[in-house]
Amino acid sequence: MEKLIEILKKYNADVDYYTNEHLIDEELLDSFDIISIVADIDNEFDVEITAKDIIPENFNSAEKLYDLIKRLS
Amino acid sequence: MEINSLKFILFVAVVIIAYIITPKKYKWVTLLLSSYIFYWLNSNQLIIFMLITTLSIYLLSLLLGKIDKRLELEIKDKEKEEKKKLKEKAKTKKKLVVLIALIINLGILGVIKYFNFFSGNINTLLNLFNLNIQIPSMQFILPLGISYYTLQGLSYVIDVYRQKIDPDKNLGRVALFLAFFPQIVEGPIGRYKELATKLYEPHKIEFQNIKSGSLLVLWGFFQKMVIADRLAILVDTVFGNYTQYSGLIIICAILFYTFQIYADFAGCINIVRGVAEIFGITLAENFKRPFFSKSVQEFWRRWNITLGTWLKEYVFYSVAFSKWYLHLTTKLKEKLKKHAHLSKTILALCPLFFVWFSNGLWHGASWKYIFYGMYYFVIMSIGMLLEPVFKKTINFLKININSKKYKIWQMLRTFILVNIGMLIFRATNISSAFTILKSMFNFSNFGEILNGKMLSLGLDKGEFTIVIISLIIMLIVDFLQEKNYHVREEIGKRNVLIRWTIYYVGIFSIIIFGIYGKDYNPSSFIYGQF
Amino acid sequence: MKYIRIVSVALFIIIGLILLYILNIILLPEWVTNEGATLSTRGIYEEEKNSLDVVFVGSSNIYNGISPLEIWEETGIPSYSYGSPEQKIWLSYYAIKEVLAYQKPKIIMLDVNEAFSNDYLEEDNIRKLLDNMKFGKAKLEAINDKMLNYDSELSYIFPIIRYHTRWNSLTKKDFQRLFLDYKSTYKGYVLSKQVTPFEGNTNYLEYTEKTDQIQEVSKKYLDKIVELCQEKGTELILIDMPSPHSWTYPRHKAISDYAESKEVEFLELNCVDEIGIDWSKDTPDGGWHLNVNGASKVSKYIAKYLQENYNLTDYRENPNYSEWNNDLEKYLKDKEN
Repeated sequence: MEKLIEILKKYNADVDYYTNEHLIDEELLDSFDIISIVADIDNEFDVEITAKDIIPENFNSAEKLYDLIKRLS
Repeated sequence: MEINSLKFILFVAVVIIAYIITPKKYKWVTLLLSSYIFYWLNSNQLIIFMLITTLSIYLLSLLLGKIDKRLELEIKDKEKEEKKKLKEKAKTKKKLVVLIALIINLGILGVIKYFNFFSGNINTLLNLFNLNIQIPSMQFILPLGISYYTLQGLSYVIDVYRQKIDPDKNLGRVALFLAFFPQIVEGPIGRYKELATKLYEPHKIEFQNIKSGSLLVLWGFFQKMVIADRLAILVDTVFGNYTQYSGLIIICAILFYTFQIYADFAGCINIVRGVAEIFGITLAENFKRPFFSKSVQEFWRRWNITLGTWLKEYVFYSVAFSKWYLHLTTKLKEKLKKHAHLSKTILALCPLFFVWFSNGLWHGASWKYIFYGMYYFVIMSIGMLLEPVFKKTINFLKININSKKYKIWQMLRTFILVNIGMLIFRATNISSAFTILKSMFNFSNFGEILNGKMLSLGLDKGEFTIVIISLIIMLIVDFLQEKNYHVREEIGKRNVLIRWTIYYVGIFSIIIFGIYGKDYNPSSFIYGQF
Repeated sequence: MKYIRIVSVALFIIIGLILLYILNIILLPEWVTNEGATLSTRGIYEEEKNSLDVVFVGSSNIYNGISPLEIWEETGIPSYSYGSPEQKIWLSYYAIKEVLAYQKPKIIMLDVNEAFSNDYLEEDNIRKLLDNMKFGKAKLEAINDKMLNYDSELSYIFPIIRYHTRWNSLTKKDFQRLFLDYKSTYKGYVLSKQVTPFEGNTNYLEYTEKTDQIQEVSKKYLDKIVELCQEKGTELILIDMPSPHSWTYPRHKAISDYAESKEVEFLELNCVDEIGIDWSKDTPDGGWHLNVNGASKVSKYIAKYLQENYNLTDYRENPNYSEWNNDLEKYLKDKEN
């Protein structure tokens, strides 16, 4: 989980990823960030995130994102 | 049948009555039948294309579902290696199915809408090589709403492919999703998940919805018939003879066109959403006060919203999260390790290019429209690339980005860029757009304007007054909505006298000031020609 | 609760229609409501129901050429001149229908001059009749007639659709129109004192072997008019107002034959010595219409004809018609001055 938060911090350092559950709704990460984030995640965790996974439900919080990663591995 | 016509109102009234008397179980059939009748009245036998699209997406989505189901059975009790192989195989099959859907539907669209564009370009190439073959141009009539329902249908297939939704076994539901008559003319482009079930479920037609929906329809009529069609008179005069005009008149015409296309498109959407609301169905919003945008990116999140969303979901994401692109992403990030911002920007620009190319091309089959898309692409690219420079400048000049003044500057800047975009959109071709842009800076006719040349462009003093007043009304309504003031709700809360006065003023201002009848020429919806 | 809703919706619609009606009136152009023709076509509704014994129907020749008060003066027969410019026969059919909806005249005299021309009628001339016609069966039928082929039917039911652009040129007069009294003191007649002599051949009804045919569509509607009058128990008399520019012997013969075939009277008013039209004094516009001199002569002739051939009541002492005597006074005064 820490690894994931490290990655996210690179794109927006001012967010508390442990508690915030509205990363997409509040536009704290935008579409372009997501492209890079996905690349980083794919590399770091050896998973394959595809377009169908790009929904707010998966990206709105670090925790949900981590769940996604776990599902894909 | 024009949407802004009495015939349409009558049609809707009949459908409403039919819907009320139909038993619950078959209410969706009433909607489907009315939609097909509406389509037939507009496009006659061209309905065959929509039927082909409906069948293709229905069958191909079912096929996708079958492939998935089969895969589930096959991978039971298999080893990891084999599992992976089977998954790969299934994926390839599914990709093929989607490809077929794309070929059929984009193919139909491509031929009907873009044949002359493609053949024209091929002819130019052939000429370059001095070959004497020429592909003849064809006269295709566009089936109603083909640019809209094609996208809507493809979104269904792709969503099934991405397993975001299950394929629908109910052909009627799929057919209604595609054909629903309010949205078929100019959108909004709906998503299956949100829309299909809503359409299919029976709704009770509530009096409150009739009132509220009718008010929205009234507003849409006002925007289209009082504002848009009136502005069109001046715009058409100037653009029809642009070499004769310069300076302020050109600026006025461009400005008027921006408002015209807004009032026209948003007006239609309002009529359509109002009608849907009467049936208890909420269609997606397509406009959110676009002129309050502080950046061009924001503008495209507030203008033709459903198109932007579609392009994001199915072009941007498809490119950005495809395997080859992710490879590219990784490689690029390694090379530009030290320049995070640059790498992020370049990675965003590539899919963005496809988005804007598609946006431009979708609007029309000519290089002018592609140029239109590229115009916005370039602005956004420059904006993104120069972001750190802007940030530094702002810090240096100690500008407060949260101040009202700065926000107004941002809106103004965006508005100007949007107007130039609209100029490209309206001009006959790229070169005339440039000519008009240049003539904008020629103020030699200032004297003429003071002598009232502005009043000789088709709108006299009285008409100009109506223009100004109606634009101010629209501005106020938009401004209130921007501040989260729900105009229709608030009107509903007032007493009978105020409510009825507003209704009567609305209705009669359309009857009296509407641009219709023998003294004016009728004008079809601008976005309806796509 | 439901009743309140139904009532409020009904009320909303009713008030809306009233507002629409008022706006309709305000936005009508002057030429529809204030010219000679429209005084004729509007005024007929101000007459008491079933009070007219004779109605004259036709084009501007009628309301410029027949003065009902002259007939009243001679015989006490109440009559009215109901005409609109260039009224083709097909339109006359509906005019007559409308008259019969409000009146039970013993006689209808129809000017058949237009029976030989084509059927194209300018929109404004159609509207001078139809926009002044009250909403009813005749109007509805007229609107749906194939002969009316410009503009939507709706714009004849709601003229506001046609005239709404006048918002840009409204004047005080348009608002005064709401309070206008449409009573036609001269019973549809439009008085003109101008004199512009006609200088052509005044012997235009000379015999010739040539023939002329009643225009096909006009004949169709003439037949309908004959039938209609028979149905309603009104006697139809065909007339032709003095028209040196367009009337000829062949045409006279054609109508004469037609009238005979339909067992209908035809009263020729052209080149009749007894009427004694003096083309140097009796026309305001070189022979196209009659002025008050000419109209007076024609009217007196018609009065005599009616008296000699029909048993019509003299209402001059009848208290219900006392207004007519006042109107006659006004008319005579105007004529002298």
